[in-house]
Amino acid sequence: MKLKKLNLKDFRKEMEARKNKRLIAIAGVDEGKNLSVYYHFDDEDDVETLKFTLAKDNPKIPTIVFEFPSAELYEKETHDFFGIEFEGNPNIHEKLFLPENFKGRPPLLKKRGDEYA
Amino acid sequence: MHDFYLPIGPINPSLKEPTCIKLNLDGNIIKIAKLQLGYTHKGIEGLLEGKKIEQALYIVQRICGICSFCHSNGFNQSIEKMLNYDAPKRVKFIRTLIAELERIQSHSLWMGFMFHEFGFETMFQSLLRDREYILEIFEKVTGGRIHHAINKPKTVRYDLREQDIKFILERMKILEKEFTKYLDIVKKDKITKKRLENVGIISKQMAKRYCLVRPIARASGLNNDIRQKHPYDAYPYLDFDVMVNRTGDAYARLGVRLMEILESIKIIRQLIHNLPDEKIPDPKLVFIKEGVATSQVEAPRGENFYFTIVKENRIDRVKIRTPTFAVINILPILLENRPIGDVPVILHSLDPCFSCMERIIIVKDNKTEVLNEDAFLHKYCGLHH
Repeated sequence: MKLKKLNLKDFRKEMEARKNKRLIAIAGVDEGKNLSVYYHFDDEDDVETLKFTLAKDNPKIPTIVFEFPSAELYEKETHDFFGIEFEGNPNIHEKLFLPENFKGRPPLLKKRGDEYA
Repeated sequence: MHDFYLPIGPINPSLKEPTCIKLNLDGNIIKIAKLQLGYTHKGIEGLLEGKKIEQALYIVQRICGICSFCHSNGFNQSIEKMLNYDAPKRVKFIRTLIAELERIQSHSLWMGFMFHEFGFETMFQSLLRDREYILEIFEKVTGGRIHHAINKPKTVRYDLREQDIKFILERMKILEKEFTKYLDIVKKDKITKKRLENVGIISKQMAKRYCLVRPIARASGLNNDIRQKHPYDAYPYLDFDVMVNRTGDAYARLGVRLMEILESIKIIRQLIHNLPDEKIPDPKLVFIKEGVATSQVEAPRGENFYFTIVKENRIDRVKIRTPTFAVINILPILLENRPIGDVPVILHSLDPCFSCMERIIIVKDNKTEVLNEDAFLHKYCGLHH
């Protein structure tokens, strides 16, 4: 795995450069203080992983569905389970796996005792 | 155009697993198709958090009942990458053998149901009988017909005995004869051709744009077989071909899978004839302070991707991208402007495994209490019963 930690302001440039690669997956991770989004691309010899770190309150990142149509489901899934907003994705608020009337906090965010009190 | 959507599923005789496709029709022709998912979620990614590595290995095998070994292999591979560990050659060979046997049984099951979808019942019965030959091998070698539970970090639980090897080779002889016969039938049978040719066509450009994986991409001429691209386990020592077809329709997908079975039989023979004679290490607990790794394995349905983060010997996060999740996005596009009668054939030609794909919602609270569906709806959706 080739892990690259990148700044959010280079997002468009980096995605543009990988336009012809195969997108494998998008993974959200709750790191306690902040959230991270990992983009995995298939490279010649290994998986190339780009890491972007987001603030925990109101996390936002641009969408890549127009470059990679397969990102549609990955973005929806990450939005459902981590509450990350993918700006520009028109269908992001349609629930994918969660029930349509789901109201709770995103289920894969790390638990803190007081939120359930 | 009216705004009525005809639901197919979640329970329908043509679906083997629960999902729902909503169709907007103009007469007999599908105009818009929408997918509704989430009927078989099990909460596995949430369940894995905080578990020890051995416990997590036990859980990931329960993701799927058809490719359970490939899930454990994918997870195991990411753990071994964190440990910088290269398994002994015999362990690698046994893992590859189980993976290839699993490929044959998964493809036979898929093909059986594919023939069942358009009423070729004799082939359906024959293929399910052939799958039984493989399940018997699994029972003999690993003790489990469906969940083999043979993988352990750094090793495997069971070694191959002389009698197992003899048994496998006998079975391969029978299977090769049968599948050569089926290939002949598929090539000549007019009804099979008429039903599957030019149905659900995916072009190479489309396969590339939608980042498709698995036999579906290979039926469209896009070779992205992980076994050849990023060889793992015993694949670097083997000589095999990857089947690629160009037409991209349901018939091509059937052909690719049938040829893959014959290729897998070839691989299994190579593995047995070159099996290194060495001792398999005993299973031991592993400890990882901190680690991040990805792994890719070629499951029967395509690439299984694992992204694992371990902290203090416990799982911090596992992201599992199963092959169905990578291809199901294309289903509504394939259904558009096709007659409604094509739905079972197109859906089935993609070989979806919803059980693999939907496994994400966490259904426990801070007391680590597992909620049933009613309690879940009551607690999180505000619904009262």
